[in-house]
Amino acid sequence: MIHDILLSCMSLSRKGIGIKSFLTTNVVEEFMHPCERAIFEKIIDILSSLSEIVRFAKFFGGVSQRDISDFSDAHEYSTGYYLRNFAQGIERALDDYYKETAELETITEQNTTHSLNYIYNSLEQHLPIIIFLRKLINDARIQKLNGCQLLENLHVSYDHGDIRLKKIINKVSRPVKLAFLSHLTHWLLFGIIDDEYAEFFINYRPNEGVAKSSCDKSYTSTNSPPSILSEEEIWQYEIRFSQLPSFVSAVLAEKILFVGQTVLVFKLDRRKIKTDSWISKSQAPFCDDIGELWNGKEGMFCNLIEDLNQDDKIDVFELERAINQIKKYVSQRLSEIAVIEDDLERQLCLIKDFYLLGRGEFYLEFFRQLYESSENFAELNNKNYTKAFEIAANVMATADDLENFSLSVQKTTIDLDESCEFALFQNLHLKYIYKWPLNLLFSPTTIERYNTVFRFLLTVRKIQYDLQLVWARHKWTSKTGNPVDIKIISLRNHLMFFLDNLQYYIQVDVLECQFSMLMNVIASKADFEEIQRAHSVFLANVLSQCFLLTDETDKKINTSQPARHSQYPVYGTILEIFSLCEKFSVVNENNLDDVDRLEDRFNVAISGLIKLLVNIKSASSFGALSQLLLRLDFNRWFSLKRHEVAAL
Amino acid sequence: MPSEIITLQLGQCGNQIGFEFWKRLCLEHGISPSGVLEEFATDGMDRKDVFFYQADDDHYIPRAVLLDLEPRVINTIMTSAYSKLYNPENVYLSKHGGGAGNNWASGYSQGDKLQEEIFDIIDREADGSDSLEGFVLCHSIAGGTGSGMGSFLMERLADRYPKKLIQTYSVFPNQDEISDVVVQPYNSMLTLRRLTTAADSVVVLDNTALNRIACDRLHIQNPTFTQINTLVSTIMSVSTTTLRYPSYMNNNLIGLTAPLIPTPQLHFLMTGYTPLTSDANLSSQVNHNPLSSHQPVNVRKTTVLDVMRRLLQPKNMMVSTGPDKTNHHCYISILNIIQGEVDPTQVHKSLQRIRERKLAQFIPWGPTSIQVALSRSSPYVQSNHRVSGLMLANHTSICSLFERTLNQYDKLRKRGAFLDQFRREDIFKDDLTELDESREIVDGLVQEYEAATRMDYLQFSTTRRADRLDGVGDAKSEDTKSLNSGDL
Repeated sequence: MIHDILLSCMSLSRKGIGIKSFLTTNVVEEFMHPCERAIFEKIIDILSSLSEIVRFAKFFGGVSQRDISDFSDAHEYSTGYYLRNFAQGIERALDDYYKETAELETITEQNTTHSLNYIYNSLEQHLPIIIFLRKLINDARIQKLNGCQLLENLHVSYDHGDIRLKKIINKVSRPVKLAFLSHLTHWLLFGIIDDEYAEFFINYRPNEGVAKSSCDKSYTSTNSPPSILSEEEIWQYEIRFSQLPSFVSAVLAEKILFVGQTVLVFKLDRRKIKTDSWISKSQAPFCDDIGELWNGKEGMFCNLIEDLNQDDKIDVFELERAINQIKKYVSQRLSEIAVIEDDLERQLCLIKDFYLLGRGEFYLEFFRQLYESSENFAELNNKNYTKAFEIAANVMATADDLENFSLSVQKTTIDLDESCEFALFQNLHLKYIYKWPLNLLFSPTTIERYNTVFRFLLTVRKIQYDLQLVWARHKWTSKTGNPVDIKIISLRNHLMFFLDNLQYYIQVDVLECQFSMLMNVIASKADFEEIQRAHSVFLANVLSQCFLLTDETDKKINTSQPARHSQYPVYGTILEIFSLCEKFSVVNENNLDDVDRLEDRFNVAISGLIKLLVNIKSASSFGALSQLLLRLDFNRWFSLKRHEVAAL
Repeated sequence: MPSEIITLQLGQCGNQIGFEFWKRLCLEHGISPSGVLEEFATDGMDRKDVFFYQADDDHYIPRAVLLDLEPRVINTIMTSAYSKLYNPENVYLSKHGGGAGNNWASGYSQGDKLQEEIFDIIDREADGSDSLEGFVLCHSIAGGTGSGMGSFLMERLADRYPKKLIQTYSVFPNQDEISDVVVQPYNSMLTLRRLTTAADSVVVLDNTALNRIACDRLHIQNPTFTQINTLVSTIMSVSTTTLRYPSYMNNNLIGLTAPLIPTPQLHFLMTGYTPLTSDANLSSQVNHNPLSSHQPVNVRKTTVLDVMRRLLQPKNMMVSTGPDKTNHHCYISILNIIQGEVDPTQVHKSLQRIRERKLAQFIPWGPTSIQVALSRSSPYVQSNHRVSGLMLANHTSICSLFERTLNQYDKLRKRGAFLDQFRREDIFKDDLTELDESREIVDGLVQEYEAATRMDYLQFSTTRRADRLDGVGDAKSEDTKSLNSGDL
């Protein structure tokens, strides 16, 4: 009888517990003292808990799931390697128990006088462990924990007061940790995410268009041959915060993502680019492989990660240290390559020259080509823009610098107000073909942001160009003794003043300042991640200080909407003035009423803007606004005028 | 290359300052005196093509036309090291070589007689450029050729090229010393009229102030013409840097002048430059060769604020305006071109400081501010200052210069002195209305500048215009009509 029980203790995996059926028969009545019956039932309780655990462990951790065919709860669990490793860990945690039961059996064989109580006592010792394990399994089932969440759940149980439980948790989590670290190694060193169950905290999300078959399991394999890797794929990796374990901080996760992306950049197919002459020089010192990045150090870093595994639990500090070390190496290597090979500074200067209109004379020529060649604005079509851009590049002898830039007109769904010509600029898209290792600086979103600034600056420039032509026309007519009405001249001065100072503000106070900060970072031999960060700070500051930080729906300038309703009052007012300028440059100057109307609108707009700037300035210390205010209101003309209006 | 600018050098003074200007430009762009690009300058980012064009043999040739009625200065140029720089076809010397005898009327009528030959040159030069933006005229207003022929040319240019800008660098005579040209007040008055009516922007270079600056700031006892002209060439070259180097704004003449000139008449600009280098450095810069610069460059730590503050000091102005007793004169507009290693964040701080301390007084009738353009400077010319700056300013006190000219003119005219030599020329054959009209226009200019210091300038301007239409406008109404049709 006792032996039967012990046998049951050992083989829990089968369907049910053997001795359980004793209860239904009268075996217990006959062979057991009534006072032992309670003990027997307790043993069966323990055993049934145990059986749950074992069945879980066997089902998920076993070589094949056929061992347990009737595991009906299976669908309640997630699937994946972490779960399997978790099950294996649990099974390993049960080793102690099995050993003890085996000992128990030998003891029983030698001396038959042991009572049921003896077995119960020895089983009871394992009860806390069993309950603990069952809790872990239940957690996994109820919350449907998956991947890193599972590890996270184990991690939070680490510092258990009970020394025995602590030992157990170490045993359980070790295989799970192994899975995690192997994911980490793959990602860090090879840029591979072999993660069919979406368990790792870095996620590959293909774009809708590219998705195709890559959503299913087979996409992981597409990563291995580097030639298939395309540009966009690098940006489709992102952090899956739901899977981010608490012991990996968001900052650390960013770093991990960065390292992997860097590796991917090195895996990019550069054959296409290499045919271009300008990169040919980089062929010699570096071979196009990940080896180029690691420079033989991958073994060292692999060991570094493996060392983490020696420890029973996850040492947050060790992990962080290792990641930092790898990241530092990678980014320094990258900035070395970027600065030395690709003349990063020159690239950024080109960006400034063309995206940020640093080469004013080039864009002046662009407008001239655009408008002098075709008298009628309606004639302008996509081709004209591209053509004018190219001609201007040739005329200005900047073709060499511009070979990596191309201007195109994109179709938009937004209905453009035909009367506002500058709205057309919202369709322009300046493309920049960056040199190879700079991919990490110029993600598609970055390029789009640059284009936002570009379109804004181009609009300012265009309106300024128009007003200057008006100025010249007035100047020349005045020579003929047929002067222009002073009202028109005065309004023209106001508009020109606004635009000039807006542009000085943008170019000097915003762009030059931010750019010099960025260049300082690069000059200080920062590692690539710091450069990357400085670059995104640069871009964010430029956008916000140009008042362009609007949400997606407002991104395209929508001139048909009255500015006052805009969510962004400063930007809205600026747009309002833009459209005034545009109307002014084509206004019939013999009709003074039209001019009056424009002037009224301008006065309203500018006094609103000044008021806004003054209020925001006094409310906060937002420097950019006070800079614009200083420039616009340098001789206190607008603010005094506002008071006059208010006094009336 | 777009926005080309053709430089016209007229008369003795015009050719001298023009010569210094081209020397300076060659230096800054790394072009040798014979027009060949120097080895070290082959991959420059500069825009040489605004002022130069390339001949078939890759020589750089200035878009310059040299005109004079007497051969002395032009001969000096043509025998200097720079003789091969210019296109010989663009050098025009009148055949008789007798000059204009410091007589405006003589220069004017000789211009009339020679206009076909002169405009052959100018038209050819204009045709040779893709999109000519305008003309820069270098001349003095006191002599005969620069003033007389210059006046004639300005009128014809405005007529012939109605859609091109005419900018002048006009040298005003030194009023501190007795001039050997007795009819100088007449010449000045007649030229000022054309500067008012025919030119689009006039950069006033006042010899009185230039001499004063050379004495006080550079500590030269008796400054020579070369020393003064070096100062002038510095101003001319710096005021064109935004045209000659890539920059985000002020890339063409319109962009440079439009923000400075709010109403058509107020187009006389003052300049200021700081820091001014001492004589030794100045002359060494003229013959500067980057390879042979052995003197240690002592870079002084000048800040943007220092530069901008000094530019606002009247003593650094290249125009002597005389004491402003009523202290009512004010800035209409200011453009500072700052070169050197500038921390852009300093610009805003400097602007703020200047406003707080009220270092500059501005017009009460419109918005205005100090515009600051950060410009590149030539990598081939070493400067011993970290930051340097040029101010182009439209300031109402410039009218005091015109007032002085008016006073001198009145003294002479009252006595009716030296009018005989004018009467000999066609324009004064019948009567002297030309002189009286000129006086009226210049007086009107002074009044306009005075009015610009007042709140009600815009109303003044309206009434003045109406008056002018009744008066002077009639005489030119024929021209007006024909121009208007083409213009509007």
